[in-house]
Amino acid sequence: MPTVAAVGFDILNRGVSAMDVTLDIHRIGGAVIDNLRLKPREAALVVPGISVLRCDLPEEAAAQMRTAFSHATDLHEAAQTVASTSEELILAAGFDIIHMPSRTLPNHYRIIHPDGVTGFGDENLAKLAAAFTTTTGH
Amino acid sequence: MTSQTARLLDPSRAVVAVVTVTDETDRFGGTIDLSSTPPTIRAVFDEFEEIVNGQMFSFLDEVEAKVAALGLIAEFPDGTTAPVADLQVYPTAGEVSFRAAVAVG
Repeated sequence: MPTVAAVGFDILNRGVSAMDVTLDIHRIGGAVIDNLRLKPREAALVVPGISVLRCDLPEEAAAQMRTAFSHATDLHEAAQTVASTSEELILAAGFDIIHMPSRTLPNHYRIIHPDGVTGFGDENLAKLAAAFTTTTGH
Repeated sequence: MTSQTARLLDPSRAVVAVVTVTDETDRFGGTIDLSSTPPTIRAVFDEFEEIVNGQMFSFLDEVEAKVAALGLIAEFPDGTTAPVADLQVYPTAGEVSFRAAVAVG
């Protein structure tokens, strides 16, 4: 399981520094703000949030997409790029994460914000994006 | 691997789509022709595609239940029929996969 030594990493001056975090939370498609933005339907959830997968490696998340949705060609293309982070870094960015297992994806989680939809503004999303490490070629 | 053309039928045995699929060991997969698909069923397929490709997995159980509730049946060229399970349709890409409890040679 990959870790990142987050020495000096201080996205909100909240003391997220000099610690090792495990990047076991993954968002298909990378950490650009547009990929972290709530879609209208997600914004209408009782607890608004975006989907992520929790597993050891980004390539596992990509492989899970290819296996679970074997003919979702657009998703497969997106899964070549995966953004990875940790629960600690999500919390430090001002967001939170909850486990929302589904039948097909038991390791499905949702990134949420204490302020709900308004918490997903661009300023906060920039902080969230900074909490991710993006890898490609999966 | 040999591809076969099968028909997807609704519970009243009306044809709702034609698929050209191969046996991918644990499921059938290939392409789908939705030209005969009723709008109400097409809407469910569109929603499924939107949820999956949009990574809106908070709605996955819900949309999978809608697809299952269609109660579709696969009819293969030899006349064999079988209930379809785990049907995944991507109208934009024209792709399909499903499980069916029949052996296709």
